[in-house]
Amino acid sequence: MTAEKISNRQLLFILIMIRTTIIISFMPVITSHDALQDAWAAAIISFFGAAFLVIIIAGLSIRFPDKTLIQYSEMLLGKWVGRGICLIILAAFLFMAATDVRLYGEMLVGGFLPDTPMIFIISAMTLVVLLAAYAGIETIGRAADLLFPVFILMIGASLLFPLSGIEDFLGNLEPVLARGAKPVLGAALIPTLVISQYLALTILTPSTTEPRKTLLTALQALGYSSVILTVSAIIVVSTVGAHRAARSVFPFLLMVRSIQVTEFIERIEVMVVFAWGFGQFLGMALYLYCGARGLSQVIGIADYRVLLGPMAVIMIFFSINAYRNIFQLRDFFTPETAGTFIGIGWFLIPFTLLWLGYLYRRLKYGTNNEH
Amino acid sequence: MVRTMSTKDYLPVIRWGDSSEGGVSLHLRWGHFSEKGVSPHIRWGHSSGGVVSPHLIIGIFLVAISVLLLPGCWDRKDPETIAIVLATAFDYDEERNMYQVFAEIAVPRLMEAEEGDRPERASWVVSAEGFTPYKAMSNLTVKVPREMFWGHSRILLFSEKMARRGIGDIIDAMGRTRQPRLITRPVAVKGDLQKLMSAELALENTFAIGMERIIITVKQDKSVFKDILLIDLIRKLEEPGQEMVIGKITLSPEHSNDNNRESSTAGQGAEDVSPVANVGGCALFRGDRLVGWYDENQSEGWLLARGMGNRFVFTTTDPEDEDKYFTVEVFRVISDWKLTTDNREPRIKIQIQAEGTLKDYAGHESLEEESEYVRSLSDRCAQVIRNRIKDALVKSQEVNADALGLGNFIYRKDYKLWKELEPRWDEIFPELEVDVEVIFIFERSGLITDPARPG
Repeated sequence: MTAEKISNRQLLFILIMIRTTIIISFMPVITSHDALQDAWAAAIISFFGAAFLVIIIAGLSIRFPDKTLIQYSEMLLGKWVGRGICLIILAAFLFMAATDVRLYGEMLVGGFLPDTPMIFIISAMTLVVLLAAYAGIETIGRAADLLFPVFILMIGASLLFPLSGIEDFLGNLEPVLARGAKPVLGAALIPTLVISQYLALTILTPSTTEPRKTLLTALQALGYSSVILTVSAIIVVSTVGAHRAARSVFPFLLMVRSIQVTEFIERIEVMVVFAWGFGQFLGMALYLYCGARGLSQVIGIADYRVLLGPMAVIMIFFSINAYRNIFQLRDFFTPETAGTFIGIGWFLIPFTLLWLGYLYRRLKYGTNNEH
Repeated sequence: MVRTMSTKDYLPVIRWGDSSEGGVSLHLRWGHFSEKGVSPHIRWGHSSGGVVSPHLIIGIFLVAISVLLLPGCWDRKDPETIAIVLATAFDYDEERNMYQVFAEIAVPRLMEAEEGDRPERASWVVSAEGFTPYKAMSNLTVKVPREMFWGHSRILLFSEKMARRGIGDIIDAMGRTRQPRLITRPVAVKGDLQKLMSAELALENTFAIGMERIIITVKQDKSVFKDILLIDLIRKLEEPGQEMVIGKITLSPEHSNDNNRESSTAGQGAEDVSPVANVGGCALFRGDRLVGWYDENQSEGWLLARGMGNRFVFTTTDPEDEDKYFTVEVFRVISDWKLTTDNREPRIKIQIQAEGTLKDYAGHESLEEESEYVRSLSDRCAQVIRNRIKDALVKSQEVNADALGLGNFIYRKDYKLWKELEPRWDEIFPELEVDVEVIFIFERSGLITDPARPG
């Protein structure tokens, strides 16, 4: 049991924000495949795929409400296999944090601060995140309480402003699903796999006030963020066109840069940058916290905080060196690469073993308990 | 007493030991040592029992503050060090195969002058050349004493030569680079680009602001010009079965001639400045190349067919007396397109419902009530609208540029049919039958009914 607790409401806010941040970053429903004007359908389909993965992740966690992945994986699969699985998931946290912050850095350097070194932007964000993770999950939860309304307001305004200027709003979404299911299914794959963000539930579940409800909370968060994703896909395609959005590095940012409601309401991309920054901050803080806490349990260190500094440095190094340029970063989010890496590496192998271990235990002992 | 500090003093003391929870824990001690032992430390409230020097805390604080303050430094731009571009224009030198860019740069010192001392012109037009659009833009750097800033360029002009050569690479440069905004207004210019940009406008002291105001006014009060933002133009370029249409500015004949221009701009006041340009009509593209022009009537037809535009003003003859005219202002247009196929051959029907107000009337008939005469006035208006639309269609078919987006309409409504037609759309479009049906409704007769009659 852990002394630090966050409420399920705070968890809901965190999960909504970190998933929505991916939407406003590179909008995988549009950029990862050629769904074009049917991106909204891909967003809806990705909800079901992601919900399945959430059930896989959180379904196991709620069966061990007072244990983290590190504790129950050892119980289910034995010390070495269990720890091996844990290291994969913990590496995923490091990987996600590094990739997310690199995307954020690419956006800032490419769009706003061309002369600022990438490492400075990444380090600055990491320093803030490090302080949050050091302060603990309760502080991260309270930060979510504070930032969530501002985040939603900014995203909401970014989505409402373009509506007045769209010449042929629904017409731009035509022809509807004319090219069959293949492009839509292809475009749904990456947003589905990006639910790997919710792997944090494997560590966080015991830290919530109602651990048995974390699955429901996660599904609610997924539902809300999928609504935002669907609406965003519709508005981005309607505003900038399906082809331009698909060729854009950051389609949501492009859409906001294209807003001109009146002579005065324009150049409002700062809202997106801030919202992205808030989501980025919470996401990274969460990954760093979960990574350090998980690793401290694996290697038997009492306090995860001593690991935060070294992990943050590794994360900065990784985010700079994992991708040589934006092309490699975009390449990662293709169905071929991410499908193999995330789909098989982070989901299929670890969770198949864990669930098999769990089912074996249930059949053998008829209980989850260690005895 | 604290010893002199050295790097060694700040090395962390790390030792491994048994933790109270049974595992191995890492004990960290940060700090420096005084003669009496370890100097006062702040203890962090967790079980590892690590201690941190106040100096380290101050160090972290300073780093944190610098993180907040420093990120902007690399990209710091003070307003007095930048040259704000208000209008950007591209021309093409065919002999040298070079892009020519013209930038109208604001001169804030002149803009801030007192009302009486304010000069006619508060901007400077400068040009440069390059083999690509961006190269030309960057070549301006060596001519301007400040750093160019393109983020406030309100209008993007293309000369006829440039537009006929193709504007795709300029659109690409504008979308790819960071500063230019996609909410700038692209416009095609008929006439000398440099003369147009250098001319003085009667009511404004910069070309860009003056032209932008004319465009907005025309858009609001007399829809004879396709006002479009660059992002919408890009969308049109990329959509299948749809060609680009942008507004046209024509340099007035007296400014086309150098001598006339000098006499007009060297005048003593606004009353001596003749209108520089006419904002009306549209440029038709095929792909990214200009292939023809719409006059004002055809532009009205295009806007009516698309159900766009804000106000249209028509004049036509009185059904009872061909020598008398009446003027109508159309303030609402609803356009509905229908696609039918006959043996997999498309046929499109454009149905228009327009509502308008009588603005002037030279006839003698009573306008007190709905009558056969009022209905015949409506029919005349409907005929004018139909002719406008047909004119626009015929013009676009002549140059084989699907400016109305009929192919795009088929693409949206019947994707399979479009896939069949797409390879030979260039042959189908010039011959395509389009039916135009117009219903015109006189909403009101203005503030009076019958015309004034001599007593």
